[in-house]
Amino acid sequence: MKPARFVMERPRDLAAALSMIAGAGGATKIMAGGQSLGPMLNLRLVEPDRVIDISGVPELRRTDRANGSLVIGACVTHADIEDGRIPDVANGMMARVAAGIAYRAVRNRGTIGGSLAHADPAADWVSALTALGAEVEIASRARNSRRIAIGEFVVGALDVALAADELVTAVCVPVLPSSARWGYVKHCRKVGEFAEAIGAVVIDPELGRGRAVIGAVEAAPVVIEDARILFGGAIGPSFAERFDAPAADSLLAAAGMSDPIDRHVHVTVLRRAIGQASVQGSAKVRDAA
Amino acid sequence: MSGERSAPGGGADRPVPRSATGRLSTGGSAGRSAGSGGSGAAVGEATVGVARTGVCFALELALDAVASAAGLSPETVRFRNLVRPEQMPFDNITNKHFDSGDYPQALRRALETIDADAVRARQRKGEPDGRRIGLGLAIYCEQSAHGTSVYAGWGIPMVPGREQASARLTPDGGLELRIGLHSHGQGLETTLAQVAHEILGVPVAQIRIVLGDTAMTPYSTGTWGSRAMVMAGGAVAAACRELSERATRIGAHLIQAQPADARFENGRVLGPSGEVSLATIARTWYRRPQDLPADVDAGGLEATSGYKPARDSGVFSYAAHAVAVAVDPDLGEVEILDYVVVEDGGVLVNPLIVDGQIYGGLTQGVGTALYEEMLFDAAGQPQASTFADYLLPGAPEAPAARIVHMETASPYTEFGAKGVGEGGAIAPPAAIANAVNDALRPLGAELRHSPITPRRIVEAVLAARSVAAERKAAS
Repeated sequence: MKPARFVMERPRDLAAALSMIAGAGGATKIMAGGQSLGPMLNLRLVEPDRVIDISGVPELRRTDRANGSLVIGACVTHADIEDGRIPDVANGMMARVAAGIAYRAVRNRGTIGGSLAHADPAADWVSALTALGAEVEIASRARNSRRIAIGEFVVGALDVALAADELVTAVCVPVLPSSARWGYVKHCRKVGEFAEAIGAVVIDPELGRGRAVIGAVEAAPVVIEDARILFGGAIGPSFAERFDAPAADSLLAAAGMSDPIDRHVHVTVLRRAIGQASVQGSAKVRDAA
Repeated sequence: MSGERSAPGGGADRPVPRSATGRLSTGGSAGRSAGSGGSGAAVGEATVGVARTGVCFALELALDAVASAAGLSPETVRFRNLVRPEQMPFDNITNKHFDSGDYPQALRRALETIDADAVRARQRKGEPDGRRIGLGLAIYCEQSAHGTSVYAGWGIPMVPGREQASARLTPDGGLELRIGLHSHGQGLETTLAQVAHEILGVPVAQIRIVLGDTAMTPYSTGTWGSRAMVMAGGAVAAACRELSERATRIGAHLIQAQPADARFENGRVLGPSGEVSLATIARTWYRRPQDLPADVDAGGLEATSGYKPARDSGVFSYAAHAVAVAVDPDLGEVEILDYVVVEDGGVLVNPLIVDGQIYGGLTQGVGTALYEEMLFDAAGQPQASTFADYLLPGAPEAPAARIVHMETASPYTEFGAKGVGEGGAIAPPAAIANAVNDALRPLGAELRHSPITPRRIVEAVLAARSVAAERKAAS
């Protein structure tokens, strides 16, 4: 199929982009790589009057360090992250997650900000960046820019806390302490497919804390902000052995996942992500990355 | 072309399979019911190996169930039941006439090539990641080029007769072949040219093929039922032989020989006192007719001839498939570790092209085994209306199969050829299901439906675990 007729605009800088978005009447879609929006246009799942392509806005492709965070422009591609063209502040997790997104052709064009704003529950960044405690930076022409945690930003399947005149401009990823370990496991029907289940964990056994995310749940991911409840109340050096599967299962049931097979699969990927984190000699992983 | 229809049902809150398309089952009930029309659910469509894939699936899973119940290896049950080469030609209880073949040898070679002993040793040892190894076998036969007597007996409207081909030498010594059936991409342009080259010696590069246009070619029922190579190949051979006889009669004049003393060999007409090439004969016929006597054969250098095999009940190609898989019992992922096809397509006109047909069929079969499924929700809405939802195997999912050829000639066809167009797709669902079941048997789980999705595997494993837990509690 071909998309319905629409007007395409390509702003040259951020100010122009924000003006266009603020002045847009009717149905407008922002394109930041087009790897999801493109097929949706072709299938006519969306029929906007206007598409604003922000992939040429230079401010959105920059990466800066600021206040213990890496600020990644919204239009940095998955391939940029996979190939190490941005600094590694997450002990190799970002590059690993990026390398597993869909196919290389998609990673060449698809962007981190586009993926978050699209908020497909099965998308990698939604879960991985939540586990990392990242925030999104949002700008508009009328108001000062603001930052909110990804967990607050993604409010449901394909649903984000973004006003009509707002644009995601960056993702702020906190620098991970060297003692922190991560695990990321996804289960797909075949190579390049969206995930059926995602487990993402960032655990710091030295500080005794961690965050866990169970993704691809047909809604916003299930976030376990304080992961100690998955380990009998405390996170120590042998945390993986103390993983409490029934606790994870109960959390999923409480989040509305009624199907026991779905829960089994999601608990399994979470268990494996935790296993991955536990065998990670953090220093060794940093060297390898 | 099965024409099966399925009816929308109600009550299930998850998408449930409703269509026979792309789904096989050894059970009698789920998803196979013949419903009334107007349901909006998909109807079966034309495909390769029509019905054979499902028959093979049922048969081969049953054989493994027998082996398991009898405490025998799957190959033992098969070796005991396969028709032996010395029984060929063999008429089975449904009056199918098997022309030739060595089925036990195909199975033996498949087991050797995949190194069944090594796969089973690895299976016993166990995997460090907790996955389970399985070995699966499946054997099928592909009735090909079955003709008039078979289809007339079935009482269906389309009954093929003799296939025809026209062959024409051109003034530059090239050859044109006109054939009524068509190539779907299986390289008939190459293989039919090879047949003509075999008879006439005209270089393949100088052979032009015209296919499937009744304005220019003979009529045909077309390419289907794995018939093109046998039927059109035979017709091309017949037309080229007829053409060689005409060329010999003309060429004899040019070498001052009696036609009875001239013979055709390797693209030349030879006589007691000399020889002349086909190209010279063609140039003389078209451009220098004054060099030919008045009583020359007026039919010229065009011939149309027809063909059907000496016996038209079909010639049977077959293969033994062996596959090794690793199954993740908790996520239901299946990785194909190795895949071997031992194929006997009779005398192969072009092994490279046959390889391509097998790889293509195998990939389609992997789709049937693991991915392809048309789901409908309770309201009858199709849930897989685009390729985003209807999963097909892509390059990463296509196994790097190893193909071994056997070439048992058919006694009934030109060159001993058999059809091979459909076979690759027939056995993979059966072989892969048997492999998955071999992997999961110690857990007490068994899969009997295709596609073998991760969810179906996890469902079967969890059900088996809860049965085991209940038994343990009861004892």
